[in-house]
Amino acid sequence: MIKISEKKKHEDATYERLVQKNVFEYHYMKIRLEFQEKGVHLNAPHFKQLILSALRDLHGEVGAALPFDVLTFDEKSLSAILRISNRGLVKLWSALTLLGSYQNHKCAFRVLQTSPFLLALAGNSRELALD
Amino acid sequence: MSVFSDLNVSCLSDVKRLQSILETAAHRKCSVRLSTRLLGKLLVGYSTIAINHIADFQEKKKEIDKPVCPSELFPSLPIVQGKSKPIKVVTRLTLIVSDPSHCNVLRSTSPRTKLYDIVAVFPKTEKLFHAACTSLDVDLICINVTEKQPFYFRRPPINVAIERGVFFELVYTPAIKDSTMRRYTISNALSLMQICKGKECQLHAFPLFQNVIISSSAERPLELRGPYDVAALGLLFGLSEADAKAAVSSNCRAALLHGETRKTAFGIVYTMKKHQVTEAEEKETVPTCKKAKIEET
Amino acid sequence: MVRFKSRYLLCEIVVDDPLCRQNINQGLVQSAIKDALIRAHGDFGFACCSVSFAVKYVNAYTGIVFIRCRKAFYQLLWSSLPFITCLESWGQRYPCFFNTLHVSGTIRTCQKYLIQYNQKQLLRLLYKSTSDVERKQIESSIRSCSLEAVEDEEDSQSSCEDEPEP
Repeated sequence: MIKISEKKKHEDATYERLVQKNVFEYHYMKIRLEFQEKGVHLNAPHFKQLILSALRDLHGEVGAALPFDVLTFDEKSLSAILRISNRGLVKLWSALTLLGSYQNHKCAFRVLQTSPFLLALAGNSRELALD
Repeated sequence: MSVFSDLNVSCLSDVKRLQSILETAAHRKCSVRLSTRLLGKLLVGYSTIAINHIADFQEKKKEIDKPVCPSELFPSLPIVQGKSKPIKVVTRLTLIVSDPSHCNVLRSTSPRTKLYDIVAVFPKTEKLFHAACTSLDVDLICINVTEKQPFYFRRPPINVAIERGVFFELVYTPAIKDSTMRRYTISNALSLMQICKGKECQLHAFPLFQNVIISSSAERPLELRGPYDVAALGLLFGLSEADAKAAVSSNCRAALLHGETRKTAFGIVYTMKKHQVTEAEEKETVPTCKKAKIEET
Repeated sequence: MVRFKSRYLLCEIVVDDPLCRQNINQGLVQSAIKDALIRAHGDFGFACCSVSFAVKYVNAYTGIVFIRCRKAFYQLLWSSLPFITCLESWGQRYPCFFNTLHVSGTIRTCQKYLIQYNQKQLLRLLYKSTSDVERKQIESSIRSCSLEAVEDEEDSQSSCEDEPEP
């Protein structure tokens, strides 16, 4: 994520060009939990607990201490939007990828979208049909 | 947009499950009907899938199976999401070799081996690993991820493998299943990456890419992960961001093309029965020739 | 040829009970560090460090340990060392903690540091000593280690017979 801003000073008409990388503090992830068999229900606290245990397994106590938030959680479709600080994105993502089971039910996390903007999760450009 | 491939999906006798894996790989359909607009419907899928046949010589002295014909298995291949093209299914053979005599299958003109699009080898000892890197006519070399690496990787054979365009394959499904295997997967992957990248790369005129691919070896749909997830996993294995993405996209394509050269005469001449060569195929053969020329020099 | 750079950590195991010093051995230390590493950094941290992780040398009397680790990941290992609270052997738990004295790139510099460190410790002992006999003993041992060159140090106190890595 590169942000380029050009500032013009009025007096002596010199330009200042600032290039910043990863200026955004948070990343947002849209994820969905899939189970092999139907009829497995879990509520928001359990959902967060599941992600925390995945983080603890892969990255230990240090990983479990990463600050992340479950912004929305839909119990019906088991989908959620997470907010994670930038440096924890790879850790969280890899922990989600390597999660294989929840209480002896086989499951998988599908990461649908990631973006530094929450608004970007409203639509998906990849969904557009190509003809 | 790059084309993603997963070059390792286990061949199962259960056709239905194989079909569902393919379906999942091509596109992720939501199983739940959505009332909210919260969920995006689909994700980018894999465009190429290789169905893997494993031949273990130690267990039984039997011939290599004939590859299943993809068109037989699936009357209509699922459309890849975002591509409006059907998924490409290729066949792949993995030889588990623990003795030098097992490699004869590759050297002799075995008609069965030629039927496969990709040939991979799983060396059990250091000598065989060396042979696989330097002399064997294979496209992929599997790295053991389920136990501690029995030997150290050495730089010279890996350099030769890079020059020949042979790729190393890492499999991530065992890491999903079990905690101890996850440790072995990561540590073996890290030790391979440390060898693969070295100072010698800077001497070359062009930057040497990491010749690693990451694939699934999934047996059920839930063991499959999205291409971007796998790329994020690659970061964990010590790849850079570009290399991690290449490990699921361009490197796989290169391995596939490397496999195609085996069907041609020295990678230069390609003959086909009757059937006029169309433009699309001509285009396809061009990179093959180029690759072969690089190989020969 | 690619040379893999390592880091050597020189640690001191501090235990309350002097009796349990006898029980400290290589395997015990290794498993304690491994457990702490898994607890602090999970499977990933353990996998990172296990590539060339080794407990190179253990001295049961002085509680000195040399730990080797790849340079890229030694911080993971180091940060998990404070979380070791006890050593477990044969079902018994000995409360202890690891005190890191020195970190260096070769085992040789670690050895040199350890010798210097032990000399300083001797001086401190001398300062604190009360009886005459004790004072004599310490003085003689200080003399023995200061007269010889540091390289071929064979002092029993410094306890550093470990050969440097080839």
